[in-house]
Amino acid sequence: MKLEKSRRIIRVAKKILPGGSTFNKTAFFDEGKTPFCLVKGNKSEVTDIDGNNYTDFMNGLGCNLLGYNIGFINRAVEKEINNGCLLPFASDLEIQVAKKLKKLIPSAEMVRFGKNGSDVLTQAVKLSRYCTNKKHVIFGGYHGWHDWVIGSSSRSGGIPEAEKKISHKFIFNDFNSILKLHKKLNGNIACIVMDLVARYYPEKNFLKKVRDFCSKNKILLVFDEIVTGFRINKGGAQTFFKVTPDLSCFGKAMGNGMPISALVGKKQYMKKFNDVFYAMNFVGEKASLAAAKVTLDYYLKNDVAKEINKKGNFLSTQLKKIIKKYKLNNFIQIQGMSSRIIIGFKNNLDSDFLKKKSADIDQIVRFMIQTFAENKILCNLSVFINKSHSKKDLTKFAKIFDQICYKISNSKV
Amino acid sequence: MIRLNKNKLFLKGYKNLIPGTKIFDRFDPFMIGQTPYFFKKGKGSYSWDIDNNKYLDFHMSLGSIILGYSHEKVNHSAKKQLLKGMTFSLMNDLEIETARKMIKMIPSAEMVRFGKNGSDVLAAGVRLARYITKRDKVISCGWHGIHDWSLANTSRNYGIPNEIKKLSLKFEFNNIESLHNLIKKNKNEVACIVMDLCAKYYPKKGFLNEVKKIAKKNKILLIFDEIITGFRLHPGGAQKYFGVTPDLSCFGKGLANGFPLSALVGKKRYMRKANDLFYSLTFAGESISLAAGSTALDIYNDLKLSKELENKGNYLINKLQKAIDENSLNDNIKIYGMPCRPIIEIKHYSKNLSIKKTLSLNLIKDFAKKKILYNGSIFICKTHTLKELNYMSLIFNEVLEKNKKYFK
Ligand SMILES: Cc1ncc(COP(=O)(O)O)c(C=O)c1O
Ligand SMILES: Cc1ncc(COP(=O)(O)O)c(C=O)c1O
Repeated sequence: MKLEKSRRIIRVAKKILPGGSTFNKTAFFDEGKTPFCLVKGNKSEVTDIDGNNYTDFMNGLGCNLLGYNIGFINRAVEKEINNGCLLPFASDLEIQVAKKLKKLIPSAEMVRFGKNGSDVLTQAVKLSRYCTNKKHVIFGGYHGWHDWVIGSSSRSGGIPEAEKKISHKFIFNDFNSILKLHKKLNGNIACIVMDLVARYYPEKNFLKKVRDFCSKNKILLVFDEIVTGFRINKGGAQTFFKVTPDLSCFGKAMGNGMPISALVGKKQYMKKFNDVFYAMNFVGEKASLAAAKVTLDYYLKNDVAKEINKKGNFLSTQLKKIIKKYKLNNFIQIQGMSSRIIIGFKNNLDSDFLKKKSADIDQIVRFMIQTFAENKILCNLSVFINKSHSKKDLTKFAKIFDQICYKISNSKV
Repeated sequence: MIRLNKNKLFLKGYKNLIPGTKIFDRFDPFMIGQTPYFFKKGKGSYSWDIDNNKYLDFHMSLGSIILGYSHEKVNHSAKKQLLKGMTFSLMNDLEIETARKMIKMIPSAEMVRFGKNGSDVLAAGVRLARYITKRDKVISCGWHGIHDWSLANTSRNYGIPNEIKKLSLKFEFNNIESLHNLIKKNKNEVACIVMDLCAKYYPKKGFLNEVKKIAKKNKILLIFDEIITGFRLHPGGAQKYFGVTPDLSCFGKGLANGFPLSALVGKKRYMRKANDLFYSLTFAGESISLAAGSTALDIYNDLKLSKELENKGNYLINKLQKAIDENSLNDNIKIYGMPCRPIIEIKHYSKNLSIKKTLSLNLIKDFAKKKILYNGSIFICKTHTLKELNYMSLIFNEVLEKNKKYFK
């Protein structure tokens, strides 16, 4: 595999872009043994700068749910580029997209748009603080890069102590950890922010308990559906698990690669945006709204979620079989959900998404990522299934995984 | 007269679905029915609302448009990139191409980190400064986006906890004493000074150098907000225009002439530290905006462009001032800001705020009737012609004449 250009670009990138680029896109990809820089995508295939093709299971960190270069989306985007993608004030596209979100998502009575997932999650926190007149935030996982999330991670540099003292992490599926925080904080909790499936499914009754607890204690329940939205079910995880949040956040797959996100929720809270200030220059940008419009329309008319879950189910069954075959059950674990499989490690239940894994595990992760790449598969162990993946793509993935597990079980790593 | 039937109809639906105002305009969309709110097309200096009214546009998406709406070359690059993909799984070489151009043009830029919103990169800059200085407080003096540290300094600081508010301090532009005092009072607690260089006023002679000196002496990072000034005032930003180089600076808005792109740039010894922190966005490398930005930067990298904007602005300001003089409204209407972005402010000595508001609305309404989109802040773009500027000042005169009586 030729990687000369990628290697050259790593050197340049590290000189002028801190870290070489966005964190999740560079970890283990900046060692010269994998592609580093992509230049083109088509359906489930991407091309790196050296001209190598890969089947992509990263999918732009989950945003390309339909695959790359989708004709009908491109046409919608091109039309708005021609019309001028940023115009004064508002456009009727906002109304159209809001209406489609409302159709798809049960709790969406009103809508505000953003660009990043982080934008709308942080606005949800601000809105909750205002609506409840309370201060503390408790949250379950990764919800973007803003201070209230990163303050409790291992990369919390530059975040004021004052912020760290008012945002707290609870343990997913451990309702007691919420009760404990509630007691410790004297009930001064504005909202609970959580995703419904990151590594694990919610245990029976967990969500219901959280929902009831929030209602009883006047805490707003905010669902982070940035990953689960349109993926686990076209109506999001809230539809799948039949729990209704007060506010929820969507992004990533909403525009199939165009930068757009949305905060949706109950009218009684959302209308407080008449006081709470949220206005950014690019949130009405029309090329992304147009992409969202036709993408959501597609989700409405075709059960894409069902299709990718079926594909993912097929794959995860294969992967589990392989793990069993090589007796690696006590080490490697298939986590996540069918449409986004996480190849995880047992005994590594720490939910700090940034903490360095033990050196051994780092070594294995590196080996996996690089072996996948050698075999023309792009995978960072967070496996996003998209609609364009063919059975052949999935079978190939399983085959390489088999080789990887074989080597691991024979300690060839 | 303009017909705004569809505008009125759509607003009802909009208000039921989308709460609050999306943009910063000093006036809420309650004006609807009298002025347009929904737009469908823009080309050069003109925009079209959904009732198909065509306006000579000085709004320019609040300054995100420098070259005119729907610029041919910029669009061409964006559309070419569209066929290759939008957001990739790994980095894309356009990040490097665009970063390199910024590094060439902007004095303080040795490394670059992209974002989508201006607010993103300003918050990233503040976090970096807090990390480097190991201090928490931030001093600023204008509008720097929606995040807590910035919003805390405004009157609409709802939903921000007190302990966070306390970390944000405000100084007065062009008042070096106010800065001195703040820093003295908060000795060894201030991480950075965030400021734009030319919002309403030009910096007084020596002011910026003095700020830089104070920052350096107290080991405070200096961050310039070039969201509006960048590429408009000078290809190298206000920092180049005024000859003062900050530690970090933030660009957005016009960076990609309407495509959503922003950037934090700065000196290597600071930017390198960003690697210890966590600033990561799924869409930060979204390639269509980068392609647009890269092409826009090529066009911006020409002193003639900023000179042209300045000349046009000066030409217009002269004419507007004349109209103000002729209507003897010098005590009531004042023009501030840079020539490429004149700000027209109305002073009304009546204590009755609603009169002032009505008056401002009247102006906007009357301009709209004459098919000019104006909201007090005038953004000059490359495609504005002298003829268009003449028309603008003619209507300005008419509008003033008509509304003169309300000032008394
Ligand atoms: C669950 C979850 N929430 C929020 C985010 C933040 O979204 P963005 O990167 O668009 O700001 C992510 C992104 O990876 C995510 O996975
Ligand atoms: C000077 C200045 N800084 C920052 C911002 C924030 O940028 P954005 O709205 O893209 O977040 C703005 C936006 O209008 C601005 O004018």
